[in-house]
Amino acid sequence: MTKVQCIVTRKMKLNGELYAKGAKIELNAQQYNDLKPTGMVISEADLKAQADAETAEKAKATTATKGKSAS
Amino acid sequence: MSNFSTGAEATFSLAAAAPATFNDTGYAALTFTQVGKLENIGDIPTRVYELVRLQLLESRVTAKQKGSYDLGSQTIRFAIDPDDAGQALVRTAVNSDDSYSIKMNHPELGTIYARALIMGAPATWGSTNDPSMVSLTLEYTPATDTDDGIVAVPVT
Repeated sequence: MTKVQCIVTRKMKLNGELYAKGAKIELNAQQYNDLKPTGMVISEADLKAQADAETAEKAKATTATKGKSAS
Repeated sequence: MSNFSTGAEATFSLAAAAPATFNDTGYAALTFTQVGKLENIGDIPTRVYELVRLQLLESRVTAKQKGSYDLGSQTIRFAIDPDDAGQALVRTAVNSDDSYSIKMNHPELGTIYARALIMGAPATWGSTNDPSMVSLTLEYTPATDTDDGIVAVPVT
C-alpha cells in the first residue's frame, strides 16, 4: 500500500487521534485522496509543488516589473 | 431478565474509494475515516421489498407477492465537531454524486459494509439546551447490477 507523508493544515481528529496543526502524519494513498478535498491535510509533495509554483510566480512577476522599469 | 444490545460503542466510518471486491476482504482493505460524536446510528441497511397486490374478481381475495426491493436509507445523527476529519469527509461527500463505502461496527453485533450515496447532512444549531447536531442521510445502493454490496461480518 502506497504511503503518503502529510502535514496537518489545522487541528484534526482522525479515527480517535488528535493532531495539532503542522503535525506530520503518514496516510495511505487512498485515505489521503479521501481527505485531500477536506483541506485538513496536504502531502509534503503537494506542499513543495505549491511552494515551487509560488516562487516561480513571484520570479515571473519580478522579471515583468524589471522589464517595465527598464523600458 | 433478557439480554439485549444497545447502540453503545457503535461506530460509523466512510471511504470515498470502492473496494476491489465487494466482500469482507475487499472492504477490509480500505482505510475508513470514522465520523465522531455519534448520537444515533439509525437503520441498518437491508432489503425491503415492495408489496405487489392482485385483487381477484372471482374469489375477492387479494393475492400478494414480493416485487422489487430497496436497500433502504439511514439517518445518522452526530454532534458538530469542526475538527473531526470524518465529519469534514461527510461534508465533501454531500457534494459528490459518487457512492461511498460505508462501515458500521458494533462490539457485539458485528460489522456491516455497504455502498451508499451521501444525500445530505443538514446541521441544526439548536437552542441553549440543545447540542448542535447534524442529521446525515444515506441512501443504500447496490454495488453492481447483480450485487447488493452489503456485507455483514459477525463478531467472532
